[in-house]
Amino acid sequence: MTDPNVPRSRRSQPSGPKRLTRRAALTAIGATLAGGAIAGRLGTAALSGTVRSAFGQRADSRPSRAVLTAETDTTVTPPDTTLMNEHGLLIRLLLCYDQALHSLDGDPGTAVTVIHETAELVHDVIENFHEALEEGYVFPPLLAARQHVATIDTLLLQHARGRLVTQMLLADATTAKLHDTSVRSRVVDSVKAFVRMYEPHEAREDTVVFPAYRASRTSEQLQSDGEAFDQLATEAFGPTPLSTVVAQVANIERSLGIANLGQFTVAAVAPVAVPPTQ
Amino acid sequence: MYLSQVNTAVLVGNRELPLYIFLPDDRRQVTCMSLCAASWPPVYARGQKIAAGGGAKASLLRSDRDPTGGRVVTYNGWPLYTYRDDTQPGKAEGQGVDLDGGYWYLLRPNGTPVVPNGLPAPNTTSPTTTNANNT
Repeated sequence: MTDPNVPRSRRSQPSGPKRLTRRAALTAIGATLAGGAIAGRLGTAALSGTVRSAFGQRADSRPSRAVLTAETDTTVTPPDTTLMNEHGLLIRLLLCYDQALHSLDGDPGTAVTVIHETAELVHDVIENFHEALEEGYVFPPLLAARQHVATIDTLLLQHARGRLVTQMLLADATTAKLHDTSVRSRVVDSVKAFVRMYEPHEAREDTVVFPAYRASRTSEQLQSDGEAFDQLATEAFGPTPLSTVVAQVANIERSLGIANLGQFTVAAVAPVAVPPTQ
Repeated sequence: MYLSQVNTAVLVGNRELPLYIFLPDDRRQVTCMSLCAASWPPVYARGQKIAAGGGAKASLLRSDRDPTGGRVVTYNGWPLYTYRDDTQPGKAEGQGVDLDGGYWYLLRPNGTPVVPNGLPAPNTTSPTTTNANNT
């Protein structure tokens, strides 16, 4: 998820491959999705808006050059960068879960609220959106090429199990229900298991699956996927999707007292002499 | 969840993977599109085998127009979907899941969804005959 309407200079930049240029047509969107049915819908919407209506003011800001520089002026964030931005959101949500468990005894009201709000964001942003991008765009081309099949099967199963945990948390993470010690234990154990599962899950995706996905796609396919990701995010979360969701996560962090990044800095330790190697 | 834990015969499709209905479809129309269909690929009316241990009724099979293109197989009026996260025959990871705006259920050969206790059931006022879009 990226913010299509945020100036590109403010977006994260991939360190490796050059950024992609945006083309008007999205004919390849959805090619990997089931039955190609999604392609028609997205393709039509994007084609009708081309660069301007779908992605805001950028081309309009320099009207005299817009036509000549349409391709080079309107870049798309690479789709794997978008996915990793969303993984950053997930890491912050996992941190909220973890901190909520620590607060459960001292401030149960806040903790329960946080678990519920975090589960809602996980459901809406991670499970309904981010994982759907993976399941619709990232995994199918790799499976078709018989790459990382066992890993992807495991990732899919973890998606499914995670969704059931979230569903349970949304049902059970209430102040009234957590008075029942068995429900409380189930919620605590499930949150711990969820965090434990998703840390290696996303690390494996970032280091194995996403690089393989990127390597498996042509530049045109990556361009189309990036276009689609931007458009779907805008449709789902508004014109600045990443900023919108980050703000929601930050609100949860504030309620837990973990909004200050500096508080996570390790204390200074005295230098220790390292014995010379033989 | 293993299909054997469901305690009833349910519809399965190719590769013996289970088929699901989407509650918001309400036996009326295909409503799972775009990213929803990325996780829940519809069963399109081409080359798909529908079976339920021999109990599936051909008379309940129809198809419904997918607003994004093509025709989706319906059973007793319910558009049918697979779940991307089902990767092994005999398992139904999507049963009772609340995702993409509604609940997902397995379907019995008689055309009724398998609704776990405590989860919302289909609207009982849904049409008992297939709608005009079904063919």
